[in-house]
Amino acid sequence: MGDIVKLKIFDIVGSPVWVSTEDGQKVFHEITAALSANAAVELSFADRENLITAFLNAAIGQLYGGTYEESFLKEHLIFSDTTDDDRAMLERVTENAKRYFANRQGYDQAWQGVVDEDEE
Amino acid sequence: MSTGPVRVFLGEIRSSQASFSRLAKLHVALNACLFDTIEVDFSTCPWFDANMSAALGVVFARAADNIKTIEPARLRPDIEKILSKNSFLTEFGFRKCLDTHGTTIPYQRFAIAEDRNFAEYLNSHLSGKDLPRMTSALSARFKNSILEIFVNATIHSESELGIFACGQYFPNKHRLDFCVADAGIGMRRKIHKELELKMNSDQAIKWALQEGHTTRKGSVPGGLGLKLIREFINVNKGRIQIVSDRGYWEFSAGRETLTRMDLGFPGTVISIEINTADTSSYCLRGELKS
Repeated sequence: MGDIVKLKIFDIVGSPVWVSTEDGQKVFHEITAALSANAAVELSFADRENLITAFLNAAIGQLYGGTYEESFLKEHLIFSDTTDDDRAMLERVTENAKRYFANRQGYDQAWQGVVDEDEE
Repeated sequence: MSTGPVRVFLGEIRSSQASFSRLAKLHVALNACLFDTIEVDFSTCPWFDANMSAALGVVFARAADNIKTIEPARLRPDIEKILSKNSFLTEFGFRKCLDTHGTTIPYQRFAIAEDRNFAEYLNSHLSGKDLPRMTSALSARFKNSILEIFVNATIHSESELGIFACGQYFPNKHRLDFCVADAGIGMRRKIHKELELKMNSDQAIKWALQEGHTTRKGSVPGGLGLKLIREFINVNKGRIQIVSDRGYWEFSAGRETLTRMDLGFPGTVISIEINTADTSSYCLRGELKS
């Protein structure tokens, strides 16, 4: 592992409001750029006003899409300046992401063909 | 065609399935009308839950988009006062009325890209001096829930007419109601469009409530926001209602209702009601701390 790069979400987003997928995507790109340069990332949650899962799904959840092993992320991505709620939300988002990427096809299989004629 | 106004009546509007059905019926009536100007007659409306202004806003916006001029008329004084306090009536030429009791989170229409403005609107109106004193945990969970609903609408609804929001505090009942409504394609059509899954409107809501389910394509996972909201509402002993097209779902006091209305609402509405006297400490891990 090389250097540790400290990324502050507030600086990347340019606002204390962290809600949109687009802003989450910006954070995701900064993290992956640092990981690609063989650095570890310390991601700071300082100075946030609003944080929701839609943002974290893009920023953090998609890291679990297959490019990185879970063990690699455990070693190379740490979170700082978090509250209990932030950590709990991160836990839910990463668990949801792992399930999502493991079962994506299966989620939809059982839902075919339950439409009545009047709603065609 | 350009002629005088035609009149359509609106009955009682509460946060209920019957009232959502009434709004769906109003939508059909407004759009079937061949006249340019339509008077919506409130004389048969003895009660209007102010948060439902967001849903009515969708119906009126759809009619206006269909080149109709809507004129609310014959409102009872108390109804006019409520809908003037929350700014719903101002775009129809009514004077804004001061909210002296501070029980209103004003009616506002947002463009899809206005997520930050919406967050500022919530931050401003939910941490103000007027609304009930809630624990910080409750206030944060409520605010996050509303933000999740709004951002979901911006991602999935395809609502070109925007997203409509309004809240109301009912002090005697210790209840705070908030409604987010969009004029988009609805869950059923969105699921069909993105995933080619065909299902009825009620089943589409059920599908969207499953953890991990999302119509989003690509590498960003989704389908968590509604699950967290439901967990929160369950602990808080509040209520959540989802209306999308003909689908209606409600979760309250641990019980679910899922059904189909006779007519379709022109978009999707998510309405949540919380118990503001709740002093529980919330934990997103899904357990109640105390």
